[in-house]
Amino acid sequence: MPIRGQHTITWNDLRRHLGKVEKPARYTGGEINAKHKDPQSVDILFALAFPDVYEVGMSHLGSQILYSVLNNRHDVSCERVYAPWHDMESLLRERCWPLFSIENRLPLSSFDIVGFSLQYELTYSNVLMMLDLGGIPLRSKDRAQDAPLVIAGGPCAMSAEPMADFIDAFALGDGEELSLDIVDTYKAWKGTGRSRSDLLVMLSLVESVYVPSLYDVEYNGDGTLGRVVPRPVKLDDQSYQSIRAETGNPALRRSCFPEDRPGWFIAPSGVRRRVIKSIDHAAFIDQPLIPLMEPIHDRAMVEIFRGCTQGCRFCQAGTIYRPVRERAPGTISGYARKLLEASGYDEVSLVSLSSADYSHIEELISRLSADCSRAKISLPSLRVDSFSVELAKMLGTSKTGLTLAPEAGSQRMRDIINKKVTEEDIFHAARHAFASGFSHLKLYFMIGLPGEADHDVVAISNLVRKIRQIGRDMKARPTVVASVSGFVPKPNTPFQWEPCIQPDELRRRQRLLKGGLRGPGLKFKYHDVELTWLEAVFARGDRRLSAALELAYQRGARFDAWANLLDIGLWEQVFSDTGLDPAFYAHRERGIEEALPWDHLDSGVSKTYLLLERGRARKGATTRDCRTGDCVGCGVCSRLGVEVSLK
Amino acid sequence: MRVRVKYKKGDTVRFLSHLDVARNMRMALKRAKWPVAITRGYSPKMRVSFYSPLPVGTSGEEEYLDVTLDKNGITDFIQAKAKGAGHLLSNSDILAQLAGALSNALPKGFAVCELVVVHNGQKPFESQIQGSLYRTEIEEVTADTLSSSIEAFLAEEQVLFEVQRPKESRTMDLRDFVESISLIPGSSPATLFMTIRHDNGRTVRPQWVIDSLSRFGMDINTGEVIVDRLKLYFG
Ligand code: SF4
Repeated sequence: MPIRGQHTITWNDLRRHLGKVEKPARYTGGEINAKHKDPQSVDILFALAFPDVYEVGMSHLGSQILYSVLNNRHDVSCERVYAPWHDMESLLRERCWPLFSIENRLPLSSFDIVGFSLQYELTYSNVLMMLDLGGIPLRSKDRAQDAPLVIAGGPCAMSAEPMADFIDAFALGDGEELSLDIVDTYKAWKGTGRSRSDLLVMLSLVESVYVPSLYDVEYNGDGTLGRVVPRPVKLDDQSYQSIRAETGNPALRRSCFPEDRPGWFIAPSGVRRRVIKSIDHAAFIDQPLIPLMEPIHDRAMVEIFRGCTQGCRFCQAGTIYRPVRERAPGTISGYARKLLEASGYDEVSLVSLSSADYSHIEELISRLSADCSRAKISLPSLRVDSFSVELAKMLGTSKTGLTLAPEAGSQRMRDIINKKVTEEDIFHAARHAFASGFSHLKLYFMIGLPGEADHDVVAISNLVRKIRQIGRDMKARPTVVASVSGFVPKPNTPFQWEPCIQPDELRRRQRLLKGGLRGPGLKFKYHDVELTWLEAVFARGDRRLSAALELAYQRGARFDAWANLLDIGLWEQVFSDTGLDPAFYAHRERGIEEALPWDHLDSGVSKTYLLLERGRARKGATTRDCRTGDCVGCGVCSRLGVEVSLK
Repeated sequence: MRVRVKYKKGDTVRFLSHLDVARNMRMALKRAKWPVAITRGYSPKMRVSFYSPLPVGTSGEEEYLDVTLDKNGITDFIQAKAKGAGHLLSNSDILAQLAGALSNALPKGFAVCELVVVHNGQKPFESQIQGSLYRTEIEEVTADTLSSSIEAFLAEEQVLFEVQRPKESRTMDLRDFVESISLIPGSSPATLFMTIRHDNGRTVRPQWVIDSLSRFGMDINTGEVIVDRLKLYFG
């Protein structure tokens, strides 16, 4: 291992070469409130790695929270690292520089722990790039004793089998406490001189940590998954005794160290998501990182609640962040005021999955407007109803743009996906918007949803045209933008068994829309079919996909989420060269009895409930939101020992 | 009241774009609680003006921005500070208070050099800027190899240079703007000082001059040029 604090890239090195790259400020840090600790003065060096460019990573609230949680510990120094853009990657290779952290410019390989945030499947190739440039072997099994521990969290960790060979341990669920448990476990291991495999065993005993290398995957003759089972590991005597003794939970001790097999360790058969009970005072960042270069979201952010129980059936976030836990209005406005003062931002965003659902949203907004005069308040996610439009009006949202997401064009489809708005709600919202002076409406839709027929697709353009007509009748000079993306079935949703439609069929449905969305005051934007396809392959993939991922990386796949950079030919070739059939993953309907690659990772929402929801979708029956206290039986609260917490 | 801030864009923040510098300044003014006047209209903005923007990669020892202060705001600011100080504040006290608050609020790499009050009735500041003095270091090149191409450049009446812009490109006569170039004899990396003229906001960049030297027998990998603006000249 490089000696700590050595082999750093000096500022002088950097300043002589960064002139060659685009947006060099991506690599020079200097953010307000960045923590520059002396690497020698701490026990654990933690690299928070975000597999996208700096300005995207700096806009991610979750990373900011973890940065603050980890750096609040005196024995930990947490530094950040982002995916280098192509030109920077070339520079690193040309100069033989390792990928380095922002704060102290330490090579990635000199950290104890490297933790990736997996927000989106199409950033996986960047994870490999960062490991490789950082001097860390790509595959977990190739990492030597002194290599960093590579962990990953974020929504994709709940179903990240395609990454299982590259990540030593996944952290499932809320990271505030979990990240510290991992650090503590690492610290307990670090001084002991025990083996790296002991560390992995120890981590697998931490609640909500999934160590994929401790599980065997069996496949059936037809290529479907058989089962994922913990593989017994023989520990040496001393390790066996001490790890067993350190395992506090008696049930875990019994099951992982079976009495009839002394010396053997068997990892837990399933791993359950971590949930923090209250976010009221958790996770507040009083010293926000403020980048010197403009991030994508250039404003203060305060989380107002976590979780969403609207129950949209396509939505993964609606499952894996349950249940709803709100912050009190007083806490929020206090935080907002502090943040605005500390940052100098003139806008604060009230972040959640569906901010109009917040119990005291009106009270909160008037309180904030009084407390933080002059600052703009924004709600990132509105519902499609008149109330939301009224909120937007209260906030003085720029009259040029209001974004709403009806998601589907026909009532039938909206019932199938459990988007509980009627056409009348939508029209009402539109009328209200035009009357309030909004002339520019942006509407989000999906096509390729389960059960969708051509008339459902056409219903989107009809709906959009009717909205334009409403605007015209009101003399509002309307522009209505329909932004249409292809539906990708996601794990941990009632649609996880459904096939994703074929690219050609998706293109055909896009064409169905095109004609109807031409004309003055109308705009049609659609998502790249190729992105939808690749995302659909990886979203529900298993471990075998790691071969494709590695080969694609070696052949140059980077930044696949950037439509203009995604090289689909490369990926097709890679699938064929590795003998993997992308259609098997993307376009195949799963049998309900089939084992799914994420079945052993428990979001808390039961599979039975997802099946029930799937059945309701097929009948076009909707399910209410449990936020009001009327439980609909998803299982989260009892299984994870939490409850809905409204303020 | 309008205050002119002379500030430094230091070595470590050289890679910020002009827009980034402006964003950091506005945010620092807010953090420093300066009573900045706000424009009227639908999206109110701070009344701040920046001059003679520096490109990405160039540092500046003496850069300028003007801040218009709000009349009522400044009274409050003074009262608050006077309370803290326990006595009335002179004009220079007020400027010192403003300077101190801004200094503390700026990101590392920036510094406040001086604050002066701008009186009404002056020529627009941008048009007062007559020239810039730059120091340029060229890595892996020695002064000796550079001197003949610089002489050749200076001997020309006209050196046309195509400036690449995102939308169009534009041809400028570099020679017309370059007042002088002096090379430190024996320096390695080669270090040279350039005085470049400004003409109502129009000017050229040292980097372009270096790029054009390839036409005069110099072959330089242009990424490895470090430019610092040391001074602005006024007329
Ligand atoms: S268990 Fe019931 S109350 Fe809790 S999140 Fe699920 S449906 Fe809502």
